[in-house]
Amino acid sequence: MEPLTVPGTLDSLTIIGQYVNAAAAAAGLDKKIAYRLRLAVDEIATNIIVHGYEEAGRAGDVLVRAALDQATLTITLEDTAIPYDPRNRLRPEHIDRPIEDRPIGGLGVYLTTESVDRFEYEYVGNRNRNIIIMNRPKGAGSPATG
Amino acid sequence: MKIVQEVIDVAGGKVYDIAPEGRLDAVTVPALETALQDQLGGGHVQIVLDLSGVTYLSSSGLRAMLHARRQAQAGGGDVLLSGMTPRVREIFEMIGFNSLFHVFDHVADAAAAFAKSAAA
Repeated sequence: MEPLTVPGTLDSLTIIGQYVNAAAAAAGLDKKIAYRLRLAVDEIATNIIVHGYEEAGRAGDVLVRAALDQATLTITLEDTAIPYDPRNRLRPEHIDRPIEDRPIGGLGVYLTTESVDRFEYEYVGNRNRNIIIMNRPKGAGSPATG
Repeated sequence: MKIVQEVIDVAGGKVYDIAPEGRLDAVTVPALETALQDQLGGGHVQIVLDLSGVTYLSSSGLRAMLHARRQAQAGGGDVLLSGMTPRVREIFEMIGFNSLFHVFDHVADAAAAFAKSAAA
């Protein structure tokens, strides 16, 4: 699939969601897994837009890329906000606290990591890169469907 | 987002049923927050949030529920949930919210729970 570039505003969540749904369908993910993937991407994109751009008084784009191989679907989100690793929200002192007392931003990141098979982050070329990986069902990567 | 609201008379007071429809994400949650604040700000602290029409829920929606619940409880009331679809329920369980909120199958059951606690 062609990568998608959208402005870093909340209005873009819908089009990002549609892109992810199309990628999930191409990967042969079942509806439940596709829903989880969309949730994870939604959470990360919301964090980028709200915290990375809007609250920081910055403007920028979000680049979304879907990559398929035999075994996995990888969704990558890139932005030009200040370097920020969402996994920092998952430190034990956050997770061990009662749900009500956890830092507000942590809920979304927690949902993301719980929803997907793998979540990674890197900072490359002045860009945050959030990487979300879902395993494809066995057989979905065959030439007939992939 | 469409939000249907209804006032239900129960023994010992009134219950305010708020039923958002569609996706509850960062884009649509402000409308729900406004509806919740309209009631809570007016001292209406017995709230049923009917989720039967909610097709998608992200952490923005969860946070709105958490805030409303705190506020309602501070005023001696509560926010009870009803009509959760399996996908919304899954998210609740994932994050442990199912142990935090009382969840009922139908609005009437949640309203009855308020009546029962008023009688107790």
